[in-house]
Amino acid sequence: MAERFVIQEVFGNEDADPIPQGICIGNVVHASRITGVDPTTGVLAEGIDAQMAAVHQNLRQVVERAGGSIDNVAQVSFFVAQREYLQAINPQWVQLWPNDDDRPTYKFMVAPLPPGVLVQAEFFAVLGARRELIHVAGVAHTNPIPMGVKTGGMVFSSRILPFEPTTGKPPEGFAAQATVVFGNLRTFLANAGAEPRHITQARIFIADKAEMPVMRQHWDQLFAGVSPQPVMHAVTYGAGTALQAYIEIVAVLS
Amino acid sequence: MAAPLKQIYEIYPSAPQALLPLGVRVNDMVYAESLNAADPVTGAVSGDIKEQTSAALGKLRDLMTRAGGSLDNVGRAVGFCTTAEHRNAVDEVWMTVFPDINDKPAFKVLLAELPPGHLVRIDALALLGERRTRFDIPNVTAHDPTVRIGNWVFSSRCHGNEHATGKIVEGGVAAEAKQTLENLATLIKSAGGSEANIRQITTFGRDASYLEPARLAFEARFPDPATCPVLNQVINFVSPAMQVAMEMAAVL
Repeated sequence: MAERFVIQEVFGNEDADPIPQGICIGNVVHASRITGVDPTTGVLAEGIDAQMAAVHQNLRQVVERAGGSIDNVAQVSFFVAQREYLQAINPQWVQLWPNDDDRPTYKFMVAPLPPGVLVQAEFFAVLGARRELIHVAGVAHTNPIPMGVKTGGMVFSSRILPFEPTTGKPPEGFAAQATVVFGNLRTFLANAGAEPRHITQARIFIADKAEMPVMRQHWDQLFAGVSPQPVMHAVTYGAGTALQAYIEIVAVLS
Repeated sequence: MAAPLKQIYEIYPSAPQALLPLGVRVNDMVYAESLNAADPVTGAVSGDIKEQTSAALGKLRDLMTRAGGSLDNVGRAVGFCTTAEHRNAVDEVWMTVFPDINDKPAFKVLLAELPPGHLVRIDALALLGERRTRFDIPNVTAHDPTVRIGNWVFSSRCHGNEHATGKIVEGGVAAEAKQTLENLATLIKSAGGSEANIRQITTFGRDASYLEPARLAFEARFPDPATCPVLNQVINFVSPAMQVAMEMAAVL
C-alpha cells in the first residue's frame, strides 16, 4: 500500500452537533476543545463534577470513533476556569484509567474559558500503538500520572518538574530549579530512548519572564549542534508558587 | 501504512500569557480548530458577526504565518455561526480575505451552538508548501470550489446538479444524493484521482428524514464496507433549492 496520510474528522454526535471534536491525521488523533456537554442531552452538564465526567466520556467517544481506544491515548491537557476545579480531575481520571502502570499523562492549566464552560480538554492519541510509561526516578507528580508516555515512536511528557532526584523536592531559587528541570529532561529523554534532536515542540512554563535568559542558556546547551532547533513556547505561568520552572516536550523518534 | 511522522507541534498565539493553541502542525499539515474572536489572553469576545469573522480569520492568518506558511496554503475551511441570518455576513468577510474565485479554499458555513457571546468559529486545514488548484464540473456553477492542494482534494458542499442542464435533479433526496455522488466522482477524477481516493464523505440535510435515503445512495455507490469512505451524516442548514448536499475529503 502506498504511503499516504489519512485525514478524517472525528465527530461526537453529528446529528446534533456539526462541529468535529477532533481530527485524525495519519495515525495521530488530536482533539481540542472537548467540553462537558452531556452526550445524551447535547447540553453542557451542570457543575464541575458532571462536566468533568462528561469530558472523560466524550474523550473516550472521540478516540473510539477515530478507530482506537483509550489504550491509544498518550497525553491530555485540561483547561479549567478556576483553580478549585482541578480537584475534580483525578476521580474521573483514575476511573477511566484505573491501572497505575498504564495511564496517559496530563497537564492542567487555569485558562479563560467561555462562560459556562468549566473545563475543556485536548488530547493526543496514536492509533495502533500502545503506551509505555516513562518515569524519572525520584521525581514524581503528586497526581496519578507518569512523567511521560512513549507510543508509536512519539514521546509526550507531562510538565517535567524542578524536583531534585535525590530529595524529590525543589531546590531554592530560580537558577537551581532551572538546572534541575533541564537535568530531569535529559534523564527523561534517555529513559525514553530519545535525544534532544528528536524534540519537535517544547513549552517552557516560567513564573517570571525576566528569568528567560537563564532558561535560554540551558536550552542552547541542550540543543548544541542541533539544527534547526525545535519550536519553543515560553508561557508565563505559576507566578507566586514554589515551583518556578517546568518544561513540557513532544518528540518524534526517527 | 501512514507516512513517517517527522514533526508534530502545537501553534500558539504570540502573547506569552496565551494558553490555548491556535492549531496543530503534523509534518506539513496544519489543522486549526476553533478560531474565534476571543481575546487569546482574557477570553473576552465582542463585536458583531462581521467583526468577529474578521478577527477569527485574522487568527487564521497569524496561525499560518507562525506555522511557516501563509493563507495561500489553506485547502479547506469551515465557518460555524449561530443563526442562518449570519451566514451571508460570514461569507462576505471570507470573500474579502480570499477575493480570487479561482484561488480560494473549499468552504462552507454551518449552524452550530457556540459558547455565549461567540457568533462565529472557523476551522481550517492547510498543507505547507502547497498551492490550491480549482476544479469544476462543466456547466455547473459553484460558489465555493473543489480544490486540490498537494495530494489532498477537498470539495465544498456539492449538490445534485445535472451536468446537462446545470439544475438540481428532480426526484427528491434519493435522486439528488445519487447525482451528488456522481458529481463528487466527476470532481475527484478531474483532480487526477479516483473514487478509491475518497476518505470521507459528509452529507448534509435539513432534518432526519434525509438520513436514510442519503445513506442508501452512499451504500449503492460504495457497496464494499471494507473500502468505502467514512460517512458522516449531519443535519444542518442546506439551501432551500435542494434536499441534500455532500462534501468529500480525498487523499491521492
